[in-house]
Amino acid sequence: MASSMLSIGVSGLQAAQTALATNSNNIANVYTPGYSRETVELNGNSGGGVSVASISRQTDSYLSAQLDSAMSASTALETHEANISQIDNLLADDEAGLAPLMQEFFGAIEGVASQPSDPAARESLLGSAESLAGQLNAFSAYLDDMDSAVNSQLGDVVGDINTATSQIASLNEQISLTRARTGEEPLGLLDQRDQAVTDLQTLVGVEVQEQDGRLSVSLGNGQLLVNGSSNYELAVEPDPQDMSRSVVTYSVAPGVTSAIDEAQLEGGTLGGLLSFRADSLEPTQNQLGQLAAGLALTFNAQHADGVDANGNTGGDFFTLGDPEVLPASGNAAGADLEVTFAPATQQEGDDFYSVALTGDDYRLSLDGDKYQLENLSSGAVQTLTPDSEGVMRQDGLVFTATGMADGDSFTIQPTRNIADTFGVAIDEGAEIAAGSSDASLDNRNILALQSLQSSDALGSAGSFNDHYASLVSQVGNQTRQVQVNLEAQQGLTEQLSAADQSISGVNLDEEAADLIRYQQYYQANAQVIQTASTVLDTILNIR
Amino acid sequence: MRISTQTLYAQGVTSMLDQQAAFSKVSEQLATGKRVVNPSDDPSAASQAVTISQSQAVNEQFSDSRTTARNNLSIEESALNQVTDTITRVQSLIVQAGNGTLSDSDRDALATELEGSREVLLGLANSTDGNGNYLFGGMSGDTAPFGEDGSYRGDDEQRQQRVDSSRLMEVNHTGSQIFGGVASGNQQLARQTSESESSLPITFKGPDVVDAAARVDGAAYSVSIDAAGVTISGTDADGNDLQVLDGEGNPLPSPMAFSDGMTLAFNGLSMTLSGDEQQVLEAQTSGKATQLVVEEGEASADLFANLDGLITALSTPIESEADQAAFNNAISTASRQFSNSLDNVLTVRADVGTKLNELDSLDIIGDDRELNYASTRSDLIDLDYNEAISDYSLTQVGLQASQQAFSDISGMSLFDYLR
Repeated sequence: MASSMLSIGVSGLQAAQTALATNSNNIANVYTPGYSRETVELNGNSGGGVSVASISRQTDSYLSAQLDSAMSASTALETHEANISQIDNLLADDEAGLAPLMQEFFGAIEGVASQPSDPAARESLLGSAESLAGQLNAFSAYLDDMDSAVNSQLGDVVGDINTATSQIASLNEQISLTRARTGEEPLGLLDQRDQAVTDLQTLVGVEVQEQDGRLSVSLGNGQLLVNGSSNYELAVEPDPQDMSRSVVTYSVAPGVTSAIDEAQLEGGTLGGLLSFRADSLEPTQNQLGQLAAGLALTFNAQHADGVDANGNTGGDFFTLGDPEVLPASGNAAGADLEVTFAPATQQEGDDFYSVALTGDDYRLSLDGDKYQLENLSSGAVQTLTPDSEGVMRQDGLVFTATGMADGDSFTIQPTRNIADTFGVAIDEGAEIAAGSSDASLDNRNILALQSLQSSDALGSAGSFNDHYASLVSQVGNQTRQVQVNLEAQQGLTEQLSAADQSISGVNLDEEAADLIRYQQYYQANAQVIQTASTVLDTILNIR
Repeated sequence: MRISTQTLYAQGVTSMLDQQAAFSKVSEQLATGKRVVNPSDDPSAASQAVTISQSQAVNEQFSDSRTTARNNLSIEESALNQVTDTITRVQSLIVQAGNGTLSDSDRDALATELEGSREVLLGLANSTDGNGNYLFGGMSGDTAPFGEDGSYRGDDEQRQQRVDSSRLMEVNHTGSQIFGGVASGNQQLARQTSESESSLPITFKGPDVVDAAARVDGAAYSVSIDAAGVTISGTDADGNDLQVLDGEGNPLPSPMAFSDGMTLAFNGLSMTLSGDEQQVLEAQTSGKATQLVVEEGEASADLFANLDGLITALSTPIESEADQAAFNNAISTASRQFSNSLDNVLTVRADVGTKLNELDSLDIIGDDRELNYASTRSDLIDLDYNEAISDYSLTQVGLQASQQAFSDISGMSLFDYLR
């Protein structure tokens, strides 16, 4: 009896040691990310005594999957928010924003209208035109920089994604090996793999499935990233339609890559970057360009109607580059498309010049023998027919295609980077065509230029200022929307995180109580052994 | 629910961060005095603020434009004021010259004084503004609009300025409007065109309008008095011959015999011719004849040419009855001409005055608008300090409370009791 008591005591002592070790492990890992609380399950032995049935991780895989996807959405919004806030801040500057400079510019025009013969008024108009151009260039450069930053961040994020997927694949491998070798659950490895999945979800939203203890990970479109112990890498490459733009690709065959539809790359930093670029950055660049191009084209048209102080017909007031045309990589050799801005015109019944430009991007392709122009923002497709000189016109643009073969296409970004090219063409006050004649006080043309300020010079987009106000409202609304969504998503993430932690997180008070409990458990079992020993001694001392 | 230690800390930290963010937002608002700092704070208010700031800027532009317009018009007004005075002086000299007792040397003195008035008027006609631009050259501000001979070399374009959103105001008058124009309702006038040595000693009076309805607008008549008698013929504005009708609408007999004090009534006008019948008859028989032109005021509205004509008439010695008659005729023509000129300049001055008044009204409207814009803009984006200060205290209390809660919770651990 004493011997069984001894072995029971020893089994209890061992169980208490395991419990204390698990207990200590929990305490040690209280702040370890991804750590799941471990508990010891004890089993009474049939022959008496206790044994450790298992040490198990406390997790709820359903809850943690929910948490992962909430975090993924939350990270995407955070990334979008961090970026769009920069544009929001840029527009917030009341003093240096575009609106005050446009107003100063038109104020200087009024100065010339009042004092057409005053060289100082003309110089001040030139000066304010230069500041306006400078601000447009700076604004555009800032957005360009953000675009380059997005491109380089895409590379970093895709690198991190590849690291995470290769980690998951190798953990898949190690977990199955350990299981096969020891027959025990590799708790630490499981925690690590869960953490790697969480990390991956904050980079890009993925679907995770468990099969035979291995996780397979795929993108929204079903593209596999991890399958068992192998992973498939993503890459960042120039868009074949637009070499200045980076897109995410995967390898379909050795050396052959295919771009992933951006709609399928949702969630995480990657999803946030892509939605910022497509929904916020590029539309802002386009609209800024629309403003710059409209300003230059209408101004130049009206200026050419006037006569400058030297008696010459007004030349270009502003300089402006040509729309960006990007050939598709598979175009026939010799295929060429030239796109220019149509000069501003006076619509019937209007006494001011206006342009029909939109802030949209286009793709012109040759389908059979028909030129199809797709508006990439609205998706609307129009068939363009070249006139006798081979010229096609649409939306304030003039297209001249040469040598295009069936299936060839060109992407046209009329206003994306055009604000970069906006400048002042004249360098002397005398070259301002203020009048309709060279009479020194003739201010008829400058009055017409002045009235451009309040006219719908941008066609359906309204006046310059209307357009700028709508740009401000658009960026403001989008930022606000992203912020509100982010707050909601963060609230949800916090709730889910608390729920998840309530199962798998460590509570130090609880562990302290357990520590006391298991300490006493250990001491009690030691006492059992002591007692058994005393009992045994008693028997042994009977002589 | 079990709460993990991590959640406990995380929740405490999150709550402090949230409170800090709210606190710093209110602090930023208080520091800038604005409710809307970034467009995202209130996108619709931010875009409306852009629209309003443009309206403010445009309003300011119009206000600047009104300042220069007022300046231009005031300079013009002051020049026209002197022109009026000078024309009035010329008119009083004409009245003096009409006094039949003047000797040739008296008239020479008057001519000399008129020369002085001419210089004054020419100087005024070539006045410049503060920037050296000629006031009355139309849009040609860099060349003197009137030559020494009084001819107009400017253009006929009036310069406009946008003084309000829908008001383009003409801010000058051309030299031809002022020194070569007549106001509506100007008087018809008669002019002797024949040289005095070949003319009859006949003096005319009038013409006066007796029947305005019967007048043919723009018509010119010539009255010829010679051995055959008095013959009147007329052409309309297009140069077509007119039938010359008397007051009753009957054709005038042509020619009519001259008699002293005879009244010529034709086409709604009436004028009288007088002269010693004996002397006239003698002169007629020696082949002399008087030619008169009866025309609209605008046909001889050139102030400098009229002044030159008057000076010539005053400088010409009177040696015969015919000279005296021609001189009298020249004086009555000049009297009509300068009365027309004075009316014209006064009309232009009235126009300038009306515009100056309009500018004042537009200024008041513009100031009201500016107040409105400023208050709307302020309502949109400026801070309500009462609300903000109360928010400031509230968020401060919130932050302090969350810090207190964090420090209390983190200070409580069962381990503290295990000694």
